[in-house]
Amino acid sequence: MLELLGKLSEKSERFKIGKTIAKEFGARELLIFIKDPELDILLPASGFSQTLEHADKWQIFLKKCVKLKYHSDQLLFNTTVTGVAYKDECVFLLVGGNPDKQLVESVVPILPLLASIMQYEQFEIQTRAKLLLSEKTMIEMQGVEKKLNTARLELQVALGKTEQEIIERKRIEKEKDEFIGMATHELKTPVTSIKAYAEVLQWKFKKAGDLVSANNLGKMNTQLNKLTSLIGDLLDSTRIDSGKLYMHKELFDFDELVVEIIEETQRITDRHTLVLDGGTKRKIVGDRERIGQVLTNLITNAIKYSPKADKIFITSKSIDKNITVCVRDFGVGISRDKQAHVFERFYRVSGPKQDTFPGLGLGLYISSEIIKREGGRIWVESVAGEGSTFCFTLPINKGIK
Amino acid sequence: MEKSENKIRKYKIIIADDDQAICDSMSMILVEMGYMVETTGDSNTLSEIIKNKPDLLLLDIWMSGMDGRDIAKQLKANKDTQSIPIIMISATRDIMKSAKVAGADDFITKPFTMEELLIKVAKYCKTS
Repeated sequence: MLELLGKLSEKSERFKIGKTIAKEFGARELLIFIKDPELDILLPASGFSQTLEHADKWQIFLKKCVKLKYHSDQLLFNTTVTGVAYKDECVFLLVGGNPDKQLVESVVPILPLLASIMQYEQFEIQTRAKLLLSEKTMIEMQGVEKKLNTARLELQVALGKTEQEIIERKRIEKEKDEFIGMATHELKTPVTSIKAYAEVLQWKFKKAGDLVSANNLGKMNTQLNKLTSLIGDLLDSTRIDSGKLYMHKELFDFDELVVEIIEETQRITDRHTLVLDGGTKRKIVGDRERIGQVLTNLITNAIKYSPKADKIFITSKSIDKNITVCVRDFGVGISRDKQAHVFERFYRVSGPKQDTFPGLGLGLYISSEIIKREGGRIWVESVAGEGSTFCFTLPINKGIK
Repeated sequence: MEKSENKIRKYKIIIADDDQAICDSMSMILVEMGYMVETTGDSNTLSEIIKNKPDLLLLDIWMSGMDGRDIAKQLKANKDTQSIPIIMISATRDIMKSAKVAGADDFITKPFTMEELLIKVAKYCKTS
């Protein structure tokens, strides 16, 4: 019997030996339960059937075995189950028959040994399972790491590409800037010489008393100024587009600039009288030429869009830390729905009445960009058919009076 | 006008621009106003003319094969020529700063009016 019990230590023989041992005890089947240290319940040792029906009933029976050391009861379908326990570590259990109590209890001394062997097996299985699990985790981790590395690589490639793209874009932008500079030069150079010829000829004719020719050359000069302004607008718009509209900073007398621009623009109209009202009595820091350009644009627009009026009012004043200039005309006006769009690029107020007003639709766009860059605000108030008032404000820099 | 012409006749101005029409039209204006004008579009010829010590140099910023700013730098670094006033001419005022750095005394943007040109020139060729 001891020899047979000893053979239970061999896992591979366990099921067969179990049957033989059960027979020796006058039972049908042998089952050995050992404690699972992790789950803290008794489970069939490896080598025995691992699945049992009515697991709850078995657990109640096993607990009784542990408590009473020896227990025998009818468990299922009139089958007697007899068990002896070693602490709560191991239960030696016989299914069927009616085994002798003394004989069954004689097994108790070897239960600690069986328990330790089987627990060790279980530990080994669990460890292997854990190892397998960790190996799987490792493989998964490696997979994740691989994916991560791939992603990193892709990111690096993408970043490299972006860097290359940035370099390329910078190169294109530089080329574009150079082109703009070259185009500015190329377009303006012939205009400069034509203008110089026209002006000097006008002067000569005037000196010689040929006023008709001088007048014609004056008209030519006016057209050249328009061409110059169109070239300028095109280039400014390109500059704004590429963020290259540079603003210069200088301290200048604002009222002087207003007077100067009014004198200049008065020359292009015989019909309108430009009336200046007020003054700022202020010096401001800003780009004199660009601010002058805005004022010129607003006045020439007022002239252009009020062909039947004879007056244009220009008012300027300083309030707190700002100066405000308004240009009011009594022309075609702008309907409310169109007012919001007048400062947009290429926008032109069009309609049956306005068809005859030429231009690129860039002037107000450039003006608003200039005012924006000077830290000011530009707006329009208008009633269609009655006229428009365009205003802008500019900040007066601190400490300057 | 005749009186002032006589007064300013002594001033010698050099126009350096590789565009012949610019040289021609500008000198037409300046000669009409009584200045003595020489023109060149060649930087070598320019250094030759400079030896005659002009009262003013009108210098284009982009001359073929030569940057006007380099010429200005060289002239301002030379003892013999550093006192010659230089007005730089360019199509874009964005170059204004670098022109000043190169030593230009003044700047004029293309296209300019006759009036603008004459005011600038008179600043360096004072009649009094």
